[in-house]
Amino acid sequence: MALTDKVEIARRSMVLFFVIDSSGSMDGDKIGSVNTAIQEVIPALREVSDENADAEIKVAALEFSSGVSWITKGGPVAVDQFTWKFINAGGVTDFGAACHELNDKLSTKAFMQEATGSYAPAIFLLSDGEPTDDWESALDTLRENGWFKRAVKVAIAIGDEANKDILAKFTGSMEAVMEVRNIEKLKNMIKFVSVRASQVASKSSNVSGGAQSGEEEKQAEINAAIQEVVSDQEDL
Amino acid sequence: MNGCRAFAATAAGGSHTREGKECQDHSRHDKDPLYSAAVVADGHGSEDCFRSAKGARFAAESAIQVIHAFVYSEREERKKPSLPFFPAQYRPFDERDFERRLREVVVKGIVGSWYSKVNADIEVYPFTPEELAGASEKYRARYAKREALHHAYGTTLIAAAVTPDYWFGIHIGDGRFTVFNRDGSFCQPVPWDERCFLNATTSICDDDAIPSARLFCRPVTAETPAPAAIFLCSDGVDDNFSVENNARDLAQKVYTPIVQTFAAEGFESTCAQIKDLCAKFAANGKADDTSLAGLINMDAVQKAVERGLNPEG
Repeated sequence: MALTDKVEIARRSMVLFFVIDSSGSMDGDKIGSVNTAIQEVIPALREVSDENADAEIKVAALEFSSGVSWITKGGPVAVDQFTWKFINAGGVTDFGAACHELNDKLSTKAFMQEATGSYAPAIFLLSDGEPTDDWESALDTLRENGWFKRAVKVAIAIGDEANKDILAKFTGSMEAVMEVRNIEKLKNMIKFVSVRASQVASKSSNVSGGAQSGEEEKQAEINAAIQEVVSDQEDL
Repeated sequence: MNGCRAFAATAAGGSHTREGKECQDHSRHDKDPLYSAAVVADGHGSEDCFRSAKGARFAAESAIQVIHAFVYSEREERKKPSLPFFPAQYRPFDERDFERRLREVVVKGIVGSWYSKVNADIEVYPFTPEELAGASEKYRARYAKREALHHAYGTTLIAAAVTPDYWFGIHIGDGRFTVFNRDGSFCQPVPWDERCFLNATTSICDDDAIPSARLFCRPVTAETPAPAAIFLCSDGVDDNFSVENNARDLAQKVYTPIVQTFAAEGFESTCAQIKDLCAKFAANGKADDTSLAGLINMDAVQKAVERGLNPEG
């Protein structure tokens, strides 16, 4: 057997993190839309994964309300094995606890064990309110996490009560924060961001040492895509 | 004679060729009666580093030249008596002192030679408007002021040499330096630089390239012979394996089959297959430019494989 047959090159993976506010204010249509949108976007994510020879998409989902809980308890799940379990809303908005938990798991000792060289994750935050816990120090710590720094980050501010400034601090800029005020648009945006962020984050980028790293270029690309969609929506 | 044979192979990455980019990896080896050496350099390849293919070649050439000069000067040094009736060759090998000389002579020499080659190249071939057009605004402005010109040539560097008296490794940036020990185990003895994370890497063009180069050296004696093999790879190889278990995965999934093939099929056949393997890495997975180079003591590899491998070790 030739050496090329003996050495197997594993397909690399990119993890899409959903970080979902499931506090009481999300009850009703909002959490319902989040549930159906994520369930409905799974086939599209599978397509992204199948069509991408470079990387398979894995999904990890964290909900936060009065405390935090991983929906994907055993770590990231390959998107072709991933099924969505509907979550319920209730309790307060422990955003700081979510940041703390995310920081713990964005580590090669935890959820990034299988990650390889150049795919930072995509992190997608959905929230409709103000944090109720001590979030600032937890977010500051998270922002120092190497994986988080290089992740493609997008947030959706659901409704008028969402604190966009906090979401922008999470994503790194207001350009990566989308505002949605109706349920149909929320569903569409969840689908759009999940697919687009996965496509961008799992794309090979082989640059280093430049003014913009590969990850910065990816964040700029997703920001531009968001701005384009936002502007299209405004035109409509 | 040091009993080692050397090889080096490089393949252009599919993601680069698709974009019409030249291969920015460079590898080479050198076999001399006094030593064997192998080098891998991985040019950064970003739009700001538009001459990094040349930069990688300059780094590899510089390393081979400086290692050659160093090995011969060390031989002369060791002939001189350090004290009356006590020739230097009988002194015990002082790793700290040797490492200091590696940094002050070899690393400094390689970086200095690289800068000279870069300066000479810029003199003959100034940056063109086409090259500058692709660079970021920040670097266009810096290059226009003739600042940080060497950044355009940025590259990593991994080098290894084995002589009858000592062996050593030098590492700047990412890629991996792996040793196959005579007991069948693998290790990565050169310390890792935590600044190399995902796409970010340290570089020969960094201001602190000399002090931050990672080094490893050991004497070669009857009790402590040189390793059975030393493998150097660019990140086109190691980035295809998990971050957490990278050293283990490289040992199990890449180097174990390689040493087994060396033992079963001999040097020439395996070197030809390593070229094909580089092409496979370059076409699949990360599809990055890929280099694999190494120093092989065929007799020691054969014996280690016969005794049994321990890729977890």
